[in-house]
Amino acid sequence: MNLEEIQAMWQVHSEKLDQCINLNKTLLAEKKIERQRGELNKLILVSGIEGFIFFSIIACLGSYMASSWALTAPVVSAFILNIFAIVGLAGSIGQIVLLSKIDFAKPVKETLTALIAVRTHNLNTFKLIMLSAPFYMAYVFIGYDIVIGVDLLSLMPIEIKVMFCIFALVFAGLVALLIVKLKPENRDNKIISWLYKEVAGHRLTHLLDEFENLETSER
Amino acid sequence: MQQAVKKSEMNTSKHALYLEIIEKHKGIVFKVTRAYCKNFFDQEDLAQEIFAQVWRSLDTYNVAFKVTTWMYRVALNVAISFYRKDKTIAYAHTEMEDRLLSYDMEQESENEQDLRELYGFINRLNDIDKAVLLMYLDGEEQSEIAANLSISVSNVSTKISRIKQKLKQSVG
Repeated sequence: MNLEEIQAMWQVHSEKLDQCINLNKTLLAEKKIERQRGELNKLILVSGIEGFIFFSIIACLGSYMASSWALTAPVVSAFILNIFAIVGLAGSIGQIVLLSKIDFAKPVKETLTALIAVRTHNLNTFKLIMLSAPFYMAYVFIGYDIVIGVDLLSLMPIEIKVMFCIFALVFAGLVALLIVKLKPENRDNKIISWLYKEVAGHRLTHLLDEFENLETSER
Repeated sequence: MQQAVKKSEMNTSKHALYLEIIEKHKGIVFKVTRAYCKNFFDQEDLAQEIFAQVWRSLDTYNVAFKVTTWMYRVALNVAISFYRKDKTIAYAHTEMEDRLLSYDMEQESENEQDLRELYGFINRLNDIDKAVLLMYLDGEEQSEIAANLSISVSNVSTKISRIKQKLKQSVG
């Protein structure tokens, strides 16, 4: 059977479908479609909660900086962590805006692009956490100051300070390399592919695959 | 009070329009769900998600588009982004009255085997090729398919040629 014969068979199939299919209107009404929480609505809720958490962190760190304002390691640490929290809050707000703009009646390519942007959010959050990782000592400095009221940096011998600096620089280099490589086109690499699946989820990899399929033969 | 009555009237008319569209184009939803999902459980889930999205998108419906085109866009967008659970739950045990879309196979018996094979072939294609083939089989012009996918007409033409080749290899 060739495609034209199949097309003719399909036409018959389509015409008969109206008689063959029964739409359960009672069930449709019972499902209360208009009240049903779609998956995207759930994501808006999650982003809202996430944004609230980032806002709380910003408020707490802001209040901590204001109460112990001085050029000390804990205050500088709080300032650095606050920058990450502000970026995180901006990301959550951006995610809510993106989610509210998704229109399933748009052409497939446009909807796919919007959905990919939404599904990349987890990956972006992961990148943000990774970027803050070389500053892990910031958490330690704040922790020491809050729990036992000690500025740990001032008590550290110079050798230890240098060692932590070198370690942070090497760590920052590795993180920067990972983030540069963490792009859809590098998914052939096993580590990147694994990160995409585990961090961003199978849904993003599926959307990226379909986007590639859409563009095949256009490049 | 007047505002509440007006809102209620609008909701009633929206609901009536919604049911009319769904009833008229349930065939599209059926074909898309069967093409994109292998098991009844996922098909039912996808149909439900498409119906929900049609309701949500109804407010922004652009009259410049044919309802068929609009319905296809919504259904395909939902289907491509739909998360298939691929559960092998014995959904066949679910009573007909518990399904949103039920299908009377007996009325289609003469072509059923060919159709099963065709849906089997469509199931094996990637999601974009499924969309192209469904619209092509429904007699959509290549320019319309291109507009629905937002790709060039030549790309659609290439995809159709490739699908034809795959079909030849599949049926021998």
